Amino acid sequence: MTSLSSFLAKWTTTVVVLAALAASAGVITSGDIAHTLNTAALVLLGALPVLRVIALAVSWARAGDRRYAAAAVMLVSLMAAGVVMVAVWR
Amino acid sequence: MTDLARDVLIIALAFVTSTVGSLGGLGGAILLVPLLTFGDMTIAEAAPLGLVSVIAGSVAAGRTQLRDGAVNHRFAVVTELGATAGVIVGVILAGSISDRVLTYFLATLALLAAGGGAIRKGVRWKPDPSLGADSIGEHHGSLSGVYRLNDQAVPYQPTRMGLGVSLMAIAGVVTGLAGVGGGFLKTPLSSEVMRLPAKVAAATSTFTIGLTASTALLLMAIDGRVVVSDSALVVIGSIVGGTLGSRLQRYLSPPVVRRATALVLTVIAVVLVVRA
Repeated sequence: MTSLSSFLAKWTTTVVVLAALAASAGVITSGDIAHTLNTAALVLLGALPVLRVIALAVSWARAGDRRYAAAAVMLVSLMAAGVVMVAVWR
Repeated sequence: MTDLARDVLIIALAFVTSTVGSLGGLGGAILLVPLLTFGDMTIAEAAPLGLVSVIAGSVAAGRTQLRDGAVNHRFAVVTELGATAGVIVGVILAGSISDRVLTYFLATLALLAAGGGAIRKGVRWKPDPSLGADSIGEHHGSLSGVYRLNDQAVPYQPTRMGLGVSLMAIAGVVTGLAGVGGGFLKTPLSSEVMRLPAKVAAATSTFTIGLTASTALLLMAIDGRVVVSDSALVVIGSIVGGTLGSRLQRYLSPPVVRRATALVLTVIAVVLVVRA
């Protein structure tokens, strides 16, 4: 396993465990605490794929793989532009 | 149905659909959303839960797939550029084609993809005995890589990228129009058009559908359509399902993964037609 895959696997495991704990605690509890825990689980999981692309861009840029680093930056920019366009268009 | 029974049912459905979804890189939303609507939920309520299921299943499966070196991130980023551009166009054009026509079109695509995977025999990429475990992974500056098949290292090199990315953009338009994740189109395109090994295609698609679903979920959250209490139930089921699906994928041969994917695609086509 490459150091990047190892790094990503470690962080993914940490986020999955934290999200699972937050969601489980959110299901057991009620009221504002439950809402906060459930939201935290969603934010953790939802942010991870995008953060993974950003981490890839940084790692590839550092390794001198500029073409794919640029592609990763373009992808994140395209996604952000898409969110803004669709939100405004709606 | 009591609240407890309803909660257990949502967790169980998320578990089963995420297991199947991460096994073949299809995502589970296209199965989970119709199943949820058989109860008292509307499609508008079920759709965000489908996205949550895809994200949680994708992230959970990612742990095993990253350790196995099965994800080709460079391939994912390049093809996702086309797919994301297509999704934006599709979302903007949504509503311009009737739901019925779109659903039959999606069902036809799913059946074609199922046929493509089921007809092909054998394994396209052969193990290279000269390669060791340290060679597993993707290559610097290239879309090629080496993946692990049982205890052997198998080199691969995707082809027809221009055609593949163009088709990914069209798949993106279709998924944007229909509001589905698109894994059931991306995985067959990656394996049958761009000739990625079935396991690498499934693992890479699992990553990209999580990315697309994150963006779509953010848009739904802006619209106030995400019910966090139900989402937490889906997170629990999908994390367990995604983990199990990715572990099963590790032990199955490529032809078995292809046939299982073809079977699920056929089920998806039937579900789509029934829904229409």
